[in-house]
Amino acid sequence: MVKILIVICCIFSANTQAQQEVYIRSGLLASSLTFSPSLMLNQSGENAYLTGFFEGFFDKRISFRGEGNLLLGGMEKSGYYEKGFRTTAGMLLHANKKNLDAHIGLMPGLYIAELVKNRSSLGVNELSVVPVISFNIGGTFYMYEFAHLFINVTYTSTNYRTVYSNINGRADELMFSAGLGFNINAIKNK
Amino acid sequence: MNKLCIIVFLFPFFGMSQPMVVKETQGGIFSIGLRTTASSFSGDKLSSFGTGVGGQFRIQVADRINTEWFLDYITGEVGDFASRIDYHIGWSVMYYLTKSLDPIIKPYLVIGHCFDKTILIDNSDHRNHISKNSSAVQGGAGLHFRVSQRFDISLNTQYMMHLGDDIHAHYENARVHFESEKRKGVEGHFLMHIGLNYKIADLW
Repeated sequence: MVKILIVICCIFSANTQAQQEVYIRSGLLASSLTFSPSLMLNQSGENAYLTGFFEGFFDKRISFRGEGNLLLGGMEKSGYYEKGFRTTAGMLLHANKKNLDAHIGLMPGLYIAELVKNRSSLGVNELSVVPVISFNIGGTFYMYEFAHLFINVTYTSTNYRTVYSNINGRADELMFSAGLGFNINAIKNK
Repeated sequence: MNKLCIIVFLFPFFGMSQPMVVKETQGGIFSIGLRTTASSFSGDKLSSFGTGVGGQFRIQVADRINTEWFLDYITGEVGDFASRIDYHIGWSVMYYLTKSLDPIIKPYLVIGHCFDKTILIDNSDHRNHISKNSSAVQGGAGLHFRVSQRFDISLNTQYMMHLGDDIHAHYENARVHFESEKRKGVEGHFLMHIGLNYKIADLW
């Protein structure tokens, strides 16, 4: 009985190995929408964002990623932003083993935001467009032809130059996101 | 219509996922990229560090000569009472110092010209501001770090010298004042770029 079980396990294991398709290759397109809490590093407070990204792989080591973060609100009353939308785009470098992937990337971008009234000049709310640089590090498991699980940590460096005199304009954030994403391969496996 | 959108959207990933075939010389290689910029002004004692974002495309004209066409948006400080916004749009010529066509590290010299717009803004009252349009020349050196045949990370440092009238801000009698005057001497700044570039195709 034990011998039969071992044989069945070996056959099943070999069969699974043979069927294991590697999804990380050129032409892989991935996208997701998730909620991302963020910690403000130079100001008190935390923020919550709705994060969406689109990623396309040129080859298994390099991908282009575009990301948008819509501010849903500050988690504390003494928030820094009234409204905000950050958009970044850049290249990610990947190291992968089968369908398990780790990445690191540099993504320049812009933050279009309105500061809370006591941070703005003369207490007037106005939109500012601020350059942003973000560093992204994370991991992904492509578990299925059309779905993956991911985790990302993003550091964004932002500096509001036009805030009221003597008020610190630095607004760096550490943002966390994780969830279920969707992917397709635009190019058939050769 | 939907099919057209999908084709346009996915085309880069179909085309650029393939190895790039370089024709006889590297002349004709077209690449696009994004970059982030750090700026340090030297002309105005009150001006300090600035950061920015931008993009560029490159058209290589020969094995050792490349051209770069860029747009930058940079914000910086003037003391703690005013802020500075700079827009740069221009071009540079890069001369590669190595004969090797595809080394891991490719050093180069760069020189170029740009048009710029500078805006100084009072931090306490954004309606109080001044702006100028001028041009500038820039030169420096840099390195491409080859990550793959199509992808490189570029790091360069340049000194940008502004031509034309000068604008500056000063704080007096609890107010921010802006002035425009004929330039006395050289006003410029060091720029450091970190860029990500992807080669799209060899055009000729």
